[in-house]
Amino acid sequence: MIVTKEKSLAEISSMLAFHKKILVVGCDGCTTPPRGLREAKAFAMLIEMNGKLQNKEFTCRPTTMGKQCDNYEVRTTLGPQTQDAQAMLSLACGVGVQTLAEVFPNIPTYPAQDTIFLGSQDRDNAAMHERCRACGECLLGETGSVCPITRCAKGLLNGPCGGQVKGKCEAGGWKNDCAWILIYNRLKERSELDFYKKFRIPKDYRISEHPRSLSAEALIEKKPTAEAKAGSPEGRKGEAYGELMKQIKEGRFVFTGELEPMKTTDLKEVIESAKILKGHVAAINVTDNPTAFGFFNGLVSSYLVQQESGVEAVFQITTRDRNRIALLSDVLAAGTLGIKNILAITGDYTTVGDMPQGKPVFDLDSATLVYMLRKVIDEGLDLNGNKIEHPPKFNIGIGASPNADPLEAEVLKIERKVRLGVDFIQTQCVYSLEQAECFMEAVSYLKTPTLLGIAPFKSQAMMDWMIKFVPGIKVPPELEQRLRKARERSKEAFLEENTEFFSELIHEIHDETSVAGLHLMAVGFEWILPKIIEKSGVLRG
Amino acid sequence: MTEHSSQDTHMQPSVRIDADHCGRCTVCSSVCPFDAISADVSTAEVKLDIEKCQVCGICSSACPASAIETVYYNVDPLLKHVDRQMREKCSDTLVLTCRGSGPSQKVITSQLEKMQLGDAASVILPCVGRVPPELLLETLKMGIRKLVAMPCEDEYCRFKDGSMIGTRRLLLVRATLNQLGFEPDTLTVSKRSIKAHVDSSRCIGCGNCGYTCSYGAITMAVPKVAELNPEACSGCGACTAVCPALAITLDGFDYESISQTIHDYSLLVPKIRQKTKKSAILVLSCQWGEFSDLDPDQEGLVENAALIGLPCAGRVDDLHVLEAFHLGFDGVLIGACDKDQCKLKEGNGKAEQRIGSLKKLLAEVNLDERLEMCSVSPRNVNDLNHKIRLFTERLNQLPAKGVA
Repeated sequence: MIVTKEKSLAEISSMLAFHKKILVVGCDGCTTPPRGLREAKAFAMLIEMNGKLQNKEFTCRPTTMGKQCDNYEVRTTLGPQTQDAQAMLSLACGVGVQTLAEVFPNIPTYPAQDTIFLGSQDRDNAAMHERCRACGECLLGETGSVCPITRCAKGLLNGPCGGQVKGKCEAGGWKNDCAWILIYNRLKERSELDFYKKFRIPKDYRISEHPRSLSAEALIEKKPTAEAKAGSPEGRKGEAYGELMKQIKEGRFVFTGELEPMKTTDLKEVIESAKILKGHVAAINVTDNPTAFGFFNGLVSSYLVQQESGVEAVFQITTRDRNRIALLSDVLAAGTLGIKNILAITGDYTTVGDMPQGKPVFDLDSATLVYMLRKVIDEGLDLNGNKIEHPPKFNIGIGASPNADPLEAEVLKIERKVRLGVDFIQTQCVYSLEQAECFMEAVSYLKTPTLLGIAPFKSQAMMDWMIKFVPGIKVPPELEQRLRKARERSKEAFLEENTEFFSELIHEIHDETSVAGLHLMAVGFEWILPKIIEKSGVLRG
Repeated sequence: MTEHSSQDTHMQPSVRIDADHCGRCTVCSSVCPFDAISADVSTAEVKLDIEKCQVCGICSSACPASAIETVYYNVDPLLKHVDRQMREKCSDTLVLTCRGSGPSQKVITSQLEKMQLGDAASVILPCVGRVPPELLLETLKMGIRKLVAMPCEDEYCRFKDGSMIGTRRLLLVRATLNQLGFEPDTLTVSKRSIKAHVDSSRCIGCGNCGYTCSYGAITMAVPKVAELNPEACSGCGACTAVCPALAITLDGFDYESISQTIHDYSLLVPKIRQKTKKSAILVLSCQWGEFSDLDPDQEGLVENAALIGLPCAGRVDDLHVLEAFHLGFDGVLIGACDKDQCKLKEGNGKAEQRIGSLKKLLAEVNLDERLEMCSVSPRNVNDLNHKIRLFTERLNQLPAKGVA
């Protein structure tokens, strides 16, 4: 049904300000809550009373009809009632308002409500939930009857993204269910996980190009469906284009770092930090407006990091802010600027950032971005098969969440991307050998070099914040206790204890698991990383 | 029909057991449908828990020692009422009906026509079960020749077993009358109950009625049309109040007739204001929240308030509230039974929810504070009057309406 919400009387009264005799037209059709004769009568009285408060004399006559969206019905049932009406107030959805106006062009018609979405009615919770976005291409047959276009905030075709924790979505404050976890659970119940593993190519948005019309001929027209070839789940044995992949292929244990350009034009600190990490890491990731904060451009930062510090960059690209045109454009620029690695990620949802009012893009998701990059790199073509002159070469990485729950949903999602062809995986942080072993065992069949995330704590406040607010982080209580005790001694002791713990953890992960390396995140106190790496001793052997 | 002084007797219980007269037979305790009367096992002393009491009066009419006093519907004032009615209607027929079966004058007339009887004197009681046999005998003495009792059908009795107990007693009276040589049809019992009806030609198939019905009486059987099973329907009217198409009627309480009553009352608003110097209030009250003032032969006005009795607070209709304001009333007071004491099912809860949303709408025309809901019960003498007074005082504190 079409879910609507009534406007305030003040707003309605000001719309009707120039008219006196108003026909209030209910609709018995599909709007919910239903606004038929009862609501028409109620509105008529309320508008008259509201008018009196503002010294306006409205005379409202309530009526209702079957469906305001049917021009024949409007003409025949409403026609005889419109003689003395100076204006009409429609209690239907936006479609009804416009149909009334088209049938009676001489009588101004106004909406009494805002049309919100197509949804289902949850009577027990007295709520309506959005369930369909009329995208024009129903996927429900493959998604366990859960619509990812509607119920995933990002509308991902190949979810879930990293923004789900225990089945809840980062958009909307962890209240809504992650559509892709619902899909996973439903498909698993139905023994249809093959549908979950399936990769879906970027959507053709021409199908929902506004305004849409449906003629009788179009009803039977069949549209061709394109599908991507599924590659091998056993990783990619491609070429190394840069230092990072070269070292990995040589079997050397590698570290990567992470830098975050901020809301500034001055990149001095970022460059300084890169210089500190030089010699200790094989490459440094440069973030792309992390947690949806509007920061300095990641591509330019990546280029400057390489230029100024001589360390190779991993250019992180999210699909949040760019559609396929902008993405290709940046990818081509990255090629020219000498970027060797791209980390393809979806990106945190717009509303968690510092400009939450913005329009999220998500034309592609991380999987379709990998698909696009492969076409660019391997075939020299864009998504539409247009030829690219001098196509760029990159090694492609993807992100992963080692603490994801359920883990299988995460691993199968990684497999989906591995089949498209990725060179390496970088993950969110782990805090124990157990977490590392568990994840590495689960992804070992994918035979793709994996760098687990390690993130020491800058301060106790930061640790508390991470534990409290960063979803999906599992800090073992023993570690927390140990660091808390150290902090009681001094700030220095806290950092000392960090160095101690994380160098030990790195050592253990290096010895006990099959990781290709580790991705170290210490934004703002990168100086600690060389110490930790040094102390772990893993590069000495 | 109430015998109480006009002074504020609020919180004074309307039912009392006189221990001096009590013969310790414990009949009252065994007939009480609400377990409000307990009897001590060893001493047979009975005790009334007034909070549980629903003032059905069954105990009082069953007490052989006349030790239970109730404020309402005692024999003497009822006889006076019958006498008056007999003279007004020039009739020797008396109809005793139950408030729960809600017969309007029209229904009573048609029932009498069926029995080939003309106009009749009538008494409407909260439960026919509450009249003692002596009342019936007294009316015969006064010249009544035909007694027609119209209690609720047993399973729809608002006082649980009230109808069953009352009917048993009526049959006993009839047997006695027969033995005394009265005509066999001197006392007839004709049971009925009120029902909702769906006008399928107006139904838009939204399902609101079916969801709100606590009796499972409505199903959306035929696509897009609500189907009502009269067997399951209890006549509370909750469905009627939520139908967006006004397609459901309720015997005696349909939308139009209540609207008409409100309209008629609204004509009195200027008079009420002038006479009482107070705000004119419309009270929509559950008929189980107040007895005497809601009796249909009362003129429906208590000082500055016009009263409309509904079968249940669940029947309170947003449109009627809006109409009252639109027609000039200064305030609307909704009376409902206490939380767990709805005689039907959850009617008071349903009303509360709807009144809550309606207040939000009314806030836009500065009327939200002029709508209130309160709980009322006949167990406290003059409870509704007291609530009306308090509400009136609060209304007087508010700034002028500016609407209508």
